[in-house]
Amino acid sequence: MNPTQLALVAAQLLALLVLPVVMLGLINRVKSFWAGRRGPGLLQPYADMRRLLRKEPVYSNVTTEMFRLGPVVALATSLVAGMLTPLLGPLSPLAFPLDFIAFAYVLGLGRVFLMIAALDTGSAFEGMGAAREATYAALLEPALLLVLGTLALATGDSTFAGLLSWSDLGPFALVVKALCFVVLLILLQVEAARMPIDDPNTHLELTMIHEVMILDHSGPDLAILQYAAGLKLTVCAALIAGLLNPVSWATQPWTGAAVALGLMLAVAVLIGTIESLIARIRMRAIPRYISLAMVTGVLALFLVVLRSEGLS
Amino acid sequence: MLLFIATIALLVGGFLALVARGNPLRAWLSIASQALASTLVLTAAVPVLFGAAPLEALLPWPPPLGDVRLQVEALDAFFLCFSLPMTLLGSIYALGYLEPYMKSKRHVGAHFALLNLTSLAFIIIYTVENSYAFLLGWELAALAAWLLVIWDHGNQKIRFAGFNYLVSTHIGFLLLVAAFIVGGNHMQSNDLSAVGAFLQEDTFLRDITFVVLMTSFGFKSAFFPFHTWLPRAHSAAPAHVSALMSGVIHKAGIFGMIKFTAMIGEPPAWMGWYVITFSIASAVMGVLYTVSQRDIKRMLGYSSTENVGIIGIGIGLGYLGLTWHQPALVVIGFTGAILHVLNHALFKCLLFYAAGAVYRATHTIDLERLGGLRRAMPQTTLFFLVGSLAISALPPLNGFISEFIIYSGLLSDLAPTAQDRGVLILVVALLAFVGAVSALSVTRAFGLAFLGVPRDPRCEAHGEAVRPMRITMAVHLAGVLAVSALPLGAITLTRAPVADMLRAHGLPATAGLLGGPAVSFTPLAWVFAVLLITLVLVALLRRALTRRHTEHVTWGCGYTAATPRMQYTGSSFASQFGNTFEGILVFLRRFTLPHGPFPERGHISSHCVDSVEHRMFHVLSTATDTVTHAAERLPEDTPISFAIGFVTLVVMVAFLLAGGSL
Repeated sequence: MNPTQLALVAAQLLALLVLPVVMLGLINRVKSFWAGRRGPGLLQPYADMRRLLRKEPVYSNVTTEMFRLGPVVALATSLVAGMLTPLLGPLSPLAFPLDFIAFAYVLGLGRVFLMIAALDTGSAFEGMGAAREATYAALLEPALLLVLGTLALATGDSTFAGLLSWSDLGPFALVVKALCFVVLLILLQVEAARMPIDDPNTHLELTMIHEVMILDHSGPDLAILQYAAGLKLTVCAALIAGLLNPVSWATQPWTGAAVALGLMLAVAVLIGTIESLIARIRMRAIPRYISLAMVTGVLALFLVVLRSEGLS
Repeated sequence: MLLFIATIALLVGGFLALVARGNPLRAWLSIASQALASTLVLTAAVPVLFGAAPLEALLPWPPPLGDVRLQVEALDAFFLCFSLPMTLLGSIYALGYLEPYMKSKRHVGAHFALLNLTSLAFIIIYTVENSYAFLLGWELAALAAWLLVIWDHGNQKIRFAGFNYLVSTHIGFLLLVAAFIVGGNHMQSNDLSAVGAFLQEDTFLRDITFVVLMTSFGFKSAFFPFHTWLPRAHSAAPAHVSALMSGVIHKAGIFGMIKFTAMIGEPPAWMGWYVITFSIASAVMGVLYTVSQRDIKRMLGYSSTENVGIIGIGIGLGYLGLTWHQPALVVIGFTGAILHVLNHALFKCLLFYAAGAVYRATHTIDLERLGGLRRAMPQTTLFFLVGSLAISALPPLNGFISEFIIYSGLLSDLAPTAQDRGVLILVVALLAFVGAVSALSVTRAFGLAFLGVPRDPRCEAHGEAVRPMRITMAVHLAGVLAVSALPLGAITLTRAPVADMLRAHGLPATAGLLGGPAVSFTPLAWVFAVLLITLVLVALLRRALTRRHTEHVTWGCGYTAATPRMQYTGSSFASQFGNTFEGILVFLRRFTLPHGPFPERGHISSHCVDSVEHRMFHVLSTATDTVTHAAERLPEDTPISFAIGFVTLVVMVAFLLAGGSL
């Protein structure tokens, strides 16, 4: 590993610590812009988390150690997923062939423990949240792997970083990338519980997904969960940024990293905009919305196969 | 030979279990004989697994059976090495599970003798190379399993489940007989190598025989759509019998698939795709049904169909590798499949045993009534949790390792055309779906049964499972953890069978090739290590932050009179997912809605039926009706009915003759 790569890895680890807060802050800022408010500062989520960290948690007397394990596993898996993702360049610290499978399943592990923690409280609301989370994740998983498989087929690469940095900028590649973008955006909306799937600001438990799952968590546990959710958002945004990044990472690593960072912030602006302009879709319509991702993924795969058949 | 002594030990043990006095003595005699047999079999088979020459022997026998050739190759050794010890573990578990009967007048010895017979059947199936003897072992395993299932034969439902199993397994058996007759007749020999030689000829009859063989093994291993007997049998049987059936006995079907693959030579491409299609259908359908089950053991039964599907995908990949002359793909496919056989046996038995412990403690395994078992049964909770995580292939447990190998085969660039790769990527997407749904259903089962508070106060547990049950579960847990911690060690076990497979097809079995599936494991181990370190660090951080805490009731969103009955139930958990797939998950609902200004009574009951079985029974009953109606129309004693009879006879004879000339 040369010094540049080491520095990039260090930068990525630092980004994993800082970016989630900034991304959440930026989204809130964009939302306040659309609403005509001045809005909180970019680091407001950080202040919120610090306040929560100082509080004393309250546990339900029904819960067991599973409840306390939930936030721990959720944060650890999000961190590892963050290390598996090419955040600022094709240099995820833990890259290896087929690392994206590990990525998907590590995130799955975190999700399972969140659901277990939710069920541990015996609350019907939290059970409902867990059921929703599980259902949507199950519908989304094939779409994610379809896209990654398609990109692997198109680029002939099998590492996460390699298949995301598809350098082809021809019209065909752009069409496929646009389709993949749609899928990854839906992935972000589901994984990070954003509009139009889930409204992070809602105050009605019956309409929540992620928030209702963590209803009973308080104090430091809640802070950990909020940070983990921000991490997931960052990681998903990084996937989109990696896909759209036109700079060749191999030749200009620092420019590439800067552009990736800029694109991630742009994704945050996009999320804020979507959230301000679009209403949450009805709970029953969500499976249909997610199946849009699946259909788009199949379409991308189909295009890539057709193209390679034509070439070979 | 050690295996002969093992056979005799099992027979003697079984006999003693029948005639000895007192139930505990009978059980212990059976267990002792099984322990002896397992030790002997391991002593004989383990060297073969590590590359020693295959064991061979010839048992002279008068016709019509003919000389019985015995052979223990690496694949046989692999299956022997896990089947017998796991049956032994099941018998030890039975000691605890059947404890309430031990002091009763009921003859428990018969049950243990049947477990001995099951072990014996394994020795026969995995060693003989004679088609009659093979069928004998097959039938022995099936009958023993049937009698084990109907342990509680006073219950009509259980008798029905047993009968259902008996019929299904015999349909599969007859198909196997048919395939053997075709193959053996062709070569005029009862030796299985004759069937192999026949399978190498590229004829139409060979293709049909292949399909028949696969269908037969599909019945045995409960591939979709031949799985209908399985959820019934698994929910009816005692827990250890369900565990052994699912984890061990029905792996004989997989064994058959791999064994006969080794004989086919170079399969045409359609065979590989055929196996993959069936397998992915099994995996998807099996996992969909796990979501909506109320009964934990029924759910685990469907999950067996899912897991044999995953194994089948590995086998199908191996076939395609043979077709495409890609030894690396052959290695990946079969390594993944064989490793998943072992993994599935480890965690599925663990889950069934934990479900059995729940049943012993609460007398129910109905998810809608259970809850809060964690407090009374902390160890069983841990066992079930680890089993659940492993079965939904979550890292860093063993299920992930075998699935990762299969993924690496599906995503490899070894397929010749982009079209093939595209189809394999679709399979990847479906496999990912299977994994995520499986995570949903095991989380549901675990969360509802072990967490929260009991939904029905009558189903509260008052203590941990008895010691033999806990020991068995602990051994299985250790197995799961061992394979998770040492995946390379587990892959070494599959090396010899896969090398045999390569050699049987004239491919070189080099070390580099055989090490192929393990290439990604060093970085994967790093990921796991980082994951574990991060977990520990985060846990320490969290502990430092939450030194003090207060306790309160669960936040009811403003409602303060919540009762345990108001917790989320299994049906509500599955409801939205089930609605998305309502074409496949058929719910039967019976309800009377309350009405009027002073509503009094109302009820709703919903039940998820197996659509295949539903359809099958429907078609069968329609067919019976049609035939009956047609028969009623026939006038009696007239020339017409004679004519119809004559025509039928001629057609049947013609078919027979045509079949003979093939």
